Amino acid sequence: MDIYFQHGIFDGSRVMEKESKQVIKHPGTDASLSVGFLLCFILTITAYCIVQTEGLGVTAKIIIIACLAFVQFLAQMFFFLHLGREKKPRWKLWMFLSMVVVVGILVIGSLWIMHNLDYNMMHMTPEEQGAYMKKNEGI
Amino acid sequence: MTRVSERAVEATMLEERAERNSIGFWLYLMTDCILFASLFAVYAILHVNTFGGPGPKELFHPGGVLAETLLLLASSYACGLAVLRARAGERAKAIFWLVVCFALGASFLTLEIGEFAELIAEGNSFTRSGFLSAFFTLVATHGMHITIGLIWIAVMVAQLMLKGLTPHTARRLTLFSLFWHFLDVVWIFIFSTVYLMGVA
Repeated sequence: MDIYFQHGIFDGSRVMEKESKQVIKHPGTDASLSVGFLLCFILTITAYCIVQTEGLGVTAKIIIIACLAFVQFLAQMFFFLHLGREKKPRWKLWMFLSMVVVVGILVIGSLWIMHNLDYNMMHMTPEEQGAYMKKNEGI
Repeated sequence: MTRVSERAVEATMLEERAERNSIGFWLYLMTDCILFASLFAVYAILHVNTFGGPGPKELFHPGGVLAETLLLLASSYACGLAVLRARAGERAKAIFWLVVCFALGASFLTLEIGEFAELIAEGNSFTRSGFLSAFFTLVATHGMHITIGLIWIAVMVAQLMLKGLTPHTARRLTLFSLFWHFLDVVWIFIFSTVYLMGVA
């Protein structure tokens, strides 16, 4: 990732900067960083404007905001964190993907369980809830 | 010809070393993501439980939060520029961008603490309801990371001034940039799900 930099420090006397630049390719440049910044800036402002818009339904707003957040997430991972721009065997990408799986199980699983509990017990009194949980949830 | 290929081999070795150096830190960031995901899950479950108190719509000011978001994004950009300048061997410019990054990050934190202070002064602290407990836990955990990041920047600026650009300071700067960009990624989700969806 920062090899050109480290290379320059380690071997500045032996290797000309110009030559090492040809050997090593870096994912980050001023241009790609600025593109990422502008893209995220526009996406943030758009999301804010969507919320302020009158006449859009709550569900529609939430879906648009979620999509914009997802696009900005990908943009930041690519332009700022240089994900997917490393060479094989791409450890970082695989760690990232396994993290996504764990996060998905954690968040979706929690919401699912809690929603299910809510759905089953909403109409009950606290005493009935206690009895229900004893009977069905093994508590 | 042989000299060029030797250099290529050497460059590959150095590149592999630099990659290895950052992989451990990357693994830490991934586990930190899981920490934030569990706090997001807690917030998603509890945000409706206002215990008769005010909800997101009454409490959040989207304008102020938009300012926070843009400050943090600009700070992330400044951090990226600092790394690029350091890579080019321009120490003074790298320090300049780190100071900009610090100033923007500190403004973000000041706005956030102001928001918390206002909520608490109005009697809506984390003890008010399940929603507010989850909100404070999630947002303050992010704020705590930002605080640690600011200390990290201060230490790095001092090191760059005293020691200059060495392999060690260079490595720290690279790891810091990962940390700082990562915090901005987490903030997008807080901005979108907690604030924007809260007032939608």
